[in-house]
Amino acid sequence: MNKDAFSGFHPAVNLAFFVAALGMTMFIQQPVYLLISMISGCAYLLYLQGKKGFLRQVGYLAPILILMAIMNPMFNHEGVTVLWYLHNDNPVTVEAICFGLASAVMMGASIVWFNCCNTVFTSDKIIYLFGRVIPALSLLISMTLRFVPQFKNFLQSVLRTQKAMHKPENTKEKLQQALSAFSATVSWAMEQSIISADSMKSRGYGVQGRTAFSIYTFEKRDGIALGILALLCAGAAFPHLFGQMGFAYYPSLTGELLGPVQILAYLCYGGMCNLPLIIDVMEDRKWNALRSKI
Amino acid sequence: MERFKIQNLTFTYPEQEIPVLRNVSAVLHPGDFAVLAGPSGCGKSTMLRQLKTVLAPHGKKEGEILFNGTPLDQVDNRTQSARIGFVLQDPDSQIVTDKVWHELAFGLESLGVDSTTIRGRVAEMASFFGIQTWFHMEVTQLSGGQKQLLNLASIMVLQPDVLILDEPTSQLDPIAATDFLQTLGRINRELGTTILICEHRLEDVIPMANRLLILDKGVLIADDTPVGSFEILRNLNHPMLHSMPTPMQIWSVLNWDTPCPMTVSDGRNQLTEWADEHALTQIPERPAEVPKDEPLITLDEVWFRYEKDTPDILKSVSMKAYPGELLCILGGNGTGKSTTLSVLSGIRKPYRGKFSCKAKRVTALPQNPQMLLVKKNVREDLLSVFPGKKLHEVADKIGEMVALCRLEGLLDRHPFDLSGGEQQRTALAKVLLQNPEVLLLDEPTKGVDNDFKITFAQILKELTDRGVCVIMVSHDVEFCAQYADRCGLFFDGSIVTMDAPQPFFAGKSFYTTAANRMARHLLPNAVTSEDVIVACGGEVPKRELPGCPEKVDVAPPEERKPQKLPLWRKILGAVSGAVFIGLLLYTSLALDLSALYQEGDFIGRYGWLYAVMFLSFGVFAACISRKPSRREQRLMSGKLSTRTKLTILLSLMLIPLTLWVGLKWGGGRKYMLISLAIILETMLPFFLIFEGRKPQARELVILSVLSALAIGGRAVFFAMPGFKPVAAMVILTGVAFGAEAGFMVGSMTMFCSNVLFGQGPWTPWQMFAMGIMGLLAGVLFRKGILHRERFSLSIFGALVTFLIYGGIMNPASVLMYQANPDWQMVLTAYITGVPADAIHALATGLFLWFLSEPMLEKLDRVKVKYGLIER
Repeated sequence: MNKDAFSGFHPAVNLAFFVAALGMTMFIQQPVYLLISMISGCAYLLYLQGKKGFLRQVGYLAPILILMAIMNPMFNHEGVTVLWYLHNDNPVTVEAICFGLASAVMMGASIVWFNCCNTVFTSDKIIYLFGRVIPALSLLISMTLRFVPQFKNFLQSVLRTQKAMHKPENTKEKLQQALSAFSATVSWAMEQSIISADSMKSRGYGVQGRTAFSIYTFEKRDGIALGILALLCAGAAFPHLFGQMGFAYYPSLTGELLGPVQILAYLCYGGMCNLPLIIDVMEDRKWNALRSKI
Repeated sequence: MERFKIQNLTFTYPEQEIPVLRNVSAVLHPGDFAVLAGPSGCGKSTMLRQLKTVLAPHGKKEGEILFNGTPLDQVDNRTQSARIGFVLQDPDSQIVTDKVWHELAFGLESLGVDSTTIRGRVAEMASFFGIQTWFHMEVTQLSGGQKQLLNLASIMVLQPDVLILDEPTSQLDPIAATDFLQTLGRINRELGTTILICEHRLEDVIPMANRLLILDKGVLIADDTPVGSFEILRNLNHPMLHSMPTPMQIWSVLNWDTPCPMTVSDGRNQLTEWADEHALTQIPERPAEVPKDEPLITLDEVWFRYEKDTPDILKSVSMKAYPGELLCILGGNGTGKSTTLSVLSGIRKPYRGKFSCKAKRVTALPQNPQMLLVKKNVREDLLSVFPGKKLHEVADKIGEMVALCRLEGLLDRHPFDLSGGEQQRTALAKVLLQNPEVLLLDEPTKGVDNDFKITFAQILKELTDRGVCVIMVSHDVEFCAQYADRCGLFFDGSIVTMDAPQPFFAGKSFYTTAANRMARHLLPNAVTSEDVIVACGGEVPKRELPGCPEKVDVAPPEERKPQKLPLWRKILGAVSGAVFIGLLLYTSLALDLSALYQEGDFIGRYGWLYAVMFLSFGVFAACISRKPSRREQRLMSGKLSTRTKLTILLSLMLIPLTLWVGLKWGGGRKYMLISLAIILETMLPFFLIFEGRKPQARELVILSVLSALAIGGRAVFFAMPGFKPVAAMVILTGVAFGAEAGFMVGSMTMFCSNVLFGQGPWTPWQMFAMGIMGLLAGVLFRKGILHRERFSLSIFGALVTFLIYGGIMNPASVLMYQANPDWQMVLTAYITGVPADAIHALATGLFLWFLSEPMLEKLDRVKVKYGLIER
């Protein structure tokens, strides 16, 4: 379970990384950046989930992305390099094809990153990070997540009980049973909620000055990781802010792709996107070295 | 100084004449281990709850309670929270957070203790309770016993002076219960914590206690050492004697002059001494009568496992069950007893072996009777067994069952206001109304007191006399020994032995009754305490039991007929409805989408179709909706709170500002950036104001329960895609608890469901869309536009799901993935979204149609219980 060393870092490091990775993926349309983001996102997800999980989570994406890439030139006729004309005399352009591809890659990369984020950034990390800023809301989230499996279990046992009493013969009866099971769950849940509220009050909820406890500690390595992340992030973002990385799809593909500034920025961005993977690989190496010494 | 000093405490519930507690005076010293016992309904819980202000029920209180010398009312909440620990009955619902470590820290967090101290205390208590191994687990992964230990530990981290426990083991199996009580003993001995516990399992707890308090009908009739209190009961010849540990009962009937034995080993020694001087009459063997009838149910070498690659649960189970017998199956946890029941009931199919059932109707009573209780009173719940029947048609059957299960006088009560035993009987009546030939029971005597067990045994006897075959799975050795016709022991997936109770228990050394363990070396055949008493020449005391009335008249409830719709409205409604459906089908199936891009003027060509579609829906809605009743009109006060107004205003003000800033400095993906910012800004005021007013426990619980129900509800309808109760629940919340609650539940539901099913760029949009639906429902209801009845609710639900949820999510999908969106793309998204949105809208409408009335009733009930509204 704890195969991923990056998950073991402080939640703030996890959050900072995913905000940076997702933000840059979603707002920077430069083609090389998109490619870097897509490839590193896929690599990390592959590391986290293994081949099977990766295919299950990303497999459905491929057709959608291809469709998106094809749709754009059909509907969008901007751009100067005309390839051919559609039957309604609208042109298909190289620029529109490239733009469609870029949009598709951007969408794919952001979904891949979200998948990584869901694996690494678990609910207790969310609750921890927001516990100080929004204590009531984060408790609300924690409680909701605690009740969901409890209610689901109850609901399913009610359904089983009802099925044992009377096997539904058609869809109408099935729906009726489902509704009445849901209704029973609501009654029960409402009753339970009174006990939960009692239990909270009994343990002093509502007394002034609530604190938030966590099992996470901010270690030196977290600080180092955060520093490196910030540096790489700056290296990847500053050229954009100063207009060095401008890239336009329309009317024609324009923009410097392979200058020295650009290559440096790519390196920074690549380093940033692959930070978790680099940490993981280093950790794996360390363990292998330790093991071979024994 | 005394920990607690209760002086002349009298307590009366509101609107009741007779006080629940009368002139109770008691003192609790530091280090005491006091047990509070009494028949159910005697006021035990009420008394315990008086000892902590936040848990004390409303009502009239006289007398005084001193805690460490100070009147309890003057001890502030912080001190009470830390110093007075309270463990409740249900292990599950006391747990508030989702992680074990967080639950342990919860109390200390509330009291504002800093992280370092919390870390130390949590670590210490986790070690004391042996929790380290499951410290990082989710609370749902724990067993019942572990959950209750966690509840105890999360109170012990507060280092309380006193620990009050209200039937903490009633939901646990015997091994977990003993474990829990042992831990309690350790806390008392090693940490010196004062303990006051109310408990049914007196056998386990009395040997540890130094005080036994007996409460009967609100009066404290005994307050002494266990032996002293027992003497008092004996002199009164009180029915509570039958709940005392077996050795004490035997000692009392036989009138030995030795000191009263509290444990089985004391009892055994005394019996040995007594037998040295007196002759014992041996108990004759009572072998099982071989039934002559055909067996109703036969299991022949049945094997079962849940999945192909999981271990076998049932391994070659063989058994026969005959009409008119009570068959008890005993055995440890996880040996496959409950799985056997599900095979017998036909839910699970064995993969090998033969299962034959001659009975036409086999019904099962679930372990938790609350699973069967759905309606707002017992009468309706019983009537719901006969769908589509009126009460007078089945009054005979129901009346008979009410008499059999002793439900007279409970018919108008809400099922959840009944005691555990009464709920059990209601559920039993419901099951029996199906007229079963085989009745399956799963742990029916768990958590109920002795009196109820006797009544329950009587009911079972009447059933078996009628020829019903009752198969019961149980941990309750004493009950099975007393009442079963045959007992079987389940171990490692199969039935190891099966015999009549006497030979069954006489041969066992651990899985047997206390009486047998006490007397087995002298009287191997003695199984019940009556056996021992008879063998020693004593006379078994007779208990008078209330008889069962022949038949009970189930008075019909007053019926309220809704007024009929006039004919013209019906016709107009039908026509407009048909037009709407026809157009919906046409637009979603027949329309050629490519037209959108080939001819520019799509709206001009087809816009009127959509206009007519919505118009016809409006006419349909207007035709079939009704006027609100007077009661609702009272609820619709017509005013929104200033807070709600301010929040909405604030949200609206930020939008133009964002638009201006975004368009000016937006950069490459400005549309997405702007829309995302607007959405976050609109939600922010709601969240901040919610945060700022520091919501109370009950509000947090209600909101999280409603969100969890909306999410969990998806599980039940998984077979029907697009059918989710989320929108319906959010709308009902808005109506029942107001606009802000509607918004919070809507947005939190979407957020948490994405935590479980995967976050994505869609999360903020979904939160926003659902939140707005809840908000709108709340606002429109308050303004008197939306009515609290199912016609208008379901139409409103369908409409907002289609227009608002679809209306926000369709363009959102464009904004999310297109850098340069144009109106055509948005329009395409809308039109391609129509079929899915229509299904979603239809589902919401259907849910509200079927669920709105019962659900609003339930929400109102909880509001009354919380004191949010007066009825």
